[in-house]
Amino acid sequence: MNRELGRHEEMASMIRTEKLCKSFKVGSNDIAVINDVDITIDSGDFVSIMGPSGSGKSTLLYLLGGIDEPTSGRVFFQEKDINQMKDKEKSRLRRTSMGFVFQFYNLVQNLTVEENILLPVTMDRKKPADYHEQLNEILEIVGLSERRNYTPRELSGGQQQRVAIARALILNPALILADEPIGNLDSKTGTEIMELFYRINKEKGITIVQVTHSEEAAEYGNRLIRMKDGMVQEPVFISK
Amino acid sequence: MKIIMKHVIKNIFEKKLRSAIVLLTILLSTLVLFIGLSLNPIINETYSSMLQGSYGNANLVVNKNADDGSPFYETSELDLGELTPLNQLDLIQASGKTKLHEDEKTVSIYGLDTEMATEMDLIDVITGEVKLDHDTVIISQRAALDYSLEIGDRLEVTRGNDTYEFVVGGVSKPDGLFHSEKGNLLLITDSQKVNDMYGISSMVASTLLQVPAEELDSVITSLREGNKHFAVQKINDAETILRDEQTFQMVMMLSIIIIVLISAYVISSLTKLIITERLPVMGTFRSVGAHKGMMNRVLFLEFFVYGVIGSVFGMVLAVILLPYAADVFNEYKEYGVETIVTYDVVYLLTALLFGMLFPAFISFFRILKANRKPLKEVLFDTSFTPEKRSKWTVILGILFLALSFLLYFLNKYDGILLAILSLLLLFISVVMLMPTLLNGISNIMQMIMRSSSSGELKLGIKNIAGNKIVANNVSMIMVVFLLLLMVGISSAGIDRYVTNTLKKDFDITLSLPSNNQAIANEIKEMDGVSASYEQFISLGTSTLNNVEASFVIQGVHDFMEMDDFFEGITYVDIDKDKLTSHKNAIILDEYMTKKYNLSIGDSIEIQPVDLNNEPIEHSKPMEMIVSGTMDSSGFSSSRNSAFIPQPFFEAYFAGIFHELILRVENGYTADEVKESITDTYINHDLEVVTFDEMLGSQKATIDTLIDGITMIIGLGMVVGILGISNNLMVSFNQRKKEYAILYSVCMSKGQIVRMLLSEMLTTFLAVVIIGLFGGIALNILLTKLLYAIGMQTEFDFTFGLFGLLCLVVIILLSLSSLSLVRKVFKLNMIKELRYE
Repeated sequence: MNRELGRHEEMASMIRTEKLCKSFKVGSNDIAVINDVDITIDSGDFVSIMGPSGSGKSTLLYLLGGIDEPTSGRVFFQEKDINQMKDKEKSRLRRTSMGFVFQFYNLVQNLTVEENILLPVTMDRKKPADYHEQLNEILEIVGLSERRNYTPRELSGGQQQRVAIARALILNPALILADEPIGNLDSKTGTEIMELFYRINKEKGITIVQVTHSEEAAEYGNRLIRMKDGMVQEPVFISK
Repeated sequence: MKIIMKHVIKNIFEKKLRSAIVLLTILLSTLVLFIGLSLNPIINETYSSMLQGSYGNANLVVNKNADDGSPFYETSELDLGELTPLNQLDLIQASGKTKLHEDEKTVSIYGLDTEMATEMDLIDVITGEVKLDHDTVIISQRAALDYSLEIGDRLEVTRGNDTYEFVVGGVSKPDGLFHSEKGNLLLITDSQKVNDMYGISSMVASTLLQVPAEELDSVITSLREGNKHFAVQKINDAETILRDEQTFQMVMMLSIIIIVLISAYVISSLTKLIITERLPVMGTFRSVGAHKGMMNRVLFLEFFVYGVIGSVFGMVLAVILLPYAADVFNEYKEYGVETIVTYDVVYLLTALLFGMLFPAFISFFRILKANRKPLKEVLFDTSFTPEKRSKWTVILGILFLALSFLLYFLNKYDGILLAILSLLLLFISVVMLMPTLLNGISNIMQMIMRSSSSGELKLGIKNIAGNKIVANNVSMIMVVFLLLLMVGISSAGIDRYVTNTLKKDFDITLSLPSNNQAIANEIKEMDGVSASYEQFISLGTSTLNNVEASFVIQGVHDFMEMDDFFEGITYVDIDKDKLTSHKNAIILDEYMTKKYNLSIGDSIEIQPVDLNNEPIEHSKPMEMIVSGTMDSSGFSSSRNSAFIPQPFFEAYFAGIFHELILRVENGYTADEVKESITDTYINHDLEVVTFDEMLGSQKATIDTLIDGITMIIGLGMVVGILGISNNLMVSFNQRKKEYAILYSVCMSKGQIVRMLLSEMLTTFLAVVIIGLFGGIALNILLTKLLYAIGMQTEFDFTFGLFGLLCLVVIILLSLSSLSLVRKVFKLNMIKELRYE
């Protein structure tokens, strides 16, 4: 805990939680999924959250992204309490400062690769034409320059996940939240995706928080948060 | 099997809203089919029983040919020869006026033997006496109720300067002779009383005879031979056809076809959504060992169960509602004619089987297609799939569209089958081309909105073309829209014809008893008559270019005089030489000459036929020379009138109708002259109708028909709206994940709502654009169908109706969108994104 606080004092935090709790009602009982979680993730970190099924790791990720709302406690993104924000502000935050990557890619099936990637741009009332260079650069990074006019159905799982990553990158966010990004991919493709995340983290300095079951995937990050029964175990730093 | 059946039943109950909509759709289509099929025979039965009822058991009516100026005769003058009729009733009639509730009413007084009339089912006294004293009368139950008349009440009837007093002695059911009472008052009294009114004794004006049905024809022949001064007619022939059965039947069939098409489309669309929703469950079944065939049967069973429940409820409701629906079409209901409702087992079974098997049949191919997918795809496939625009669908759509118009142009003789096929192809092509059309509209809209910074607006526009569920919604709205437009165009066209196109060429028309020129001459000279024209009309058929055509043949003394008299007739091209030199000259409507490619100088053969379209005995096809063309659209809606010289007519065509057309002098009204004629000739069985009455009656018939069709189409609209609403609701459920994805990566709930509103507005725009062009195409093709059922008039695209339907669509879309907006704001996005 001391080490965690120590790091926080040294650098500005990207995202942090205070006594974060989330419970669901099952019948007449309240089941706690996240229990009193205090974590701080600094700018430039590549954090992996691991834990057994039902430990609350994905719930924590969605609370960090402001998609879900806590039962109690607070989430600060760049020192702003995201749960005090209105839906519109939160959406803008998700659009401009965060990027989401899901296990099942969650692409809009009737849009092309290019349109899917530019979706946050258009929703932010910006002109797609102004993002032409960024789009080309990102397509280059994810290796899909040749398939920019394909629809998701015409792509493999790995390629679809690259599109999801590109979509997360287009507005140059400070944070990428990834929920089991290689959970639906074969090991070779999984490795490629993790290497892509690693490059993004290193070259662009984007903070990444991923939920994963894979120890190998976790090793691409510099920190590991283990969870059990909704609580954070002692954080581990991975030397790189 | 038990588990599967349980699963099916549970599905139906768990998905309450969707099940309710599917069941209601099946229920309504079964109901409409049964009612639609049953109506025509019911109305026929009602009218024929009314007709028959007016004459009770009598099957012959005898009147005097009044060559001597008097319509009356003594019973002994009628030579029955060796005939001993089963029953015989002699009648004499008079008319007068009376005041009831301060209103002056026309009174018809029938003098007859009331006991014999009871025996012949012509009256049915329910209160008071059958046997009448000299001044007592029997009135109808309807008159008793309407004018609060009771036994013993006195009625004063004036006739010219004389006043007669009657006492109500009996009240009869409003059947039999009282069918003719309609809005007036009919009194039945002793025949001597009526004789006294005329100052005569023991005279009658007509005789009703009941003879054995099998001897009817021979009796007529022998009576005619023995009674040259009498007209002997069958009861059925004595009345002209009361209703245009063919038009009714055709319009009813059209309504049924439309409602079946709407139901089919709604059910088909629902099956698409239901199957898509079921796929993951089917995948689970298959993953535990169920094979494709079993899955097909499970889904098939589900739709069959829907069919059974829906059709059984539909039939129960139909059986309850049939009497009320039939009442709507009974034009004579207000005159006390009871609708005779019979339940036809064949129609019942047809509708029941249709309702049971229809959903299963429609879903069958979809089920097969869905289950053909590999297990993995079935298990993991989501309903959120892009709309695929198959090249072949577009090509087929264009081909069908072209074919529909090709059939229109090939259908030179206005054949009904080709007309229906052409319309059907248009609908199929619209459905097939819909994705392409939507894509085009979406692209144009995107181009227009290019400079807009609103991403959600653009995404909404794009979804119209790219999203299968949204495109499906638009398709359904479009088909229902076009079907309703089709009914609207037909109804408006028919209505407009009756009210605007028909020219007022006369004030009064009256049908004359056969061979009674004396009456015609007298009426022409009556006070108040300014001009008259006698029409001798018969029927004929001809085979032209291997197609049978019917003509209404009219004998004409002077063709130019006819043209001058009738404003509704305009000669287009007349060869005067031919008209004068050929005794067999004929003038045809240009609609017919164009249709059968006839020119002046061509000869055609026309076979004289009777009212039943059977060749007249001893007649043969007559060769006629086309000597002129005319536009008779303001004269007759079927435009099949044909004028021939009177001598030729008299020689070869039997005069079925002999009519006298009158114009009224200034200072007189048509009603006054009509009254004067009916009063003078009350005993001559004349049917006197003013132009306004004829128009009113035609309009009433059309209005009744349109009311009924509106009722049926209203039900179709309910089915359509249910389908559209269901589609929108089901599509919301299927798009929840799409909304959650958009929410998680870039959109606020407000933006999602705006995207949905943009979809709604683009949908509306698509409906307006496609509806306009589709409607115009429909208007062109529909004209052939309406021509085929005898409505040769202009059917214009009515922008008023189009606007009204657009309004309905925008209201429907707005209401659905309101519900969607509420749902989006309440949507639990996290639940829709898959995570543990």
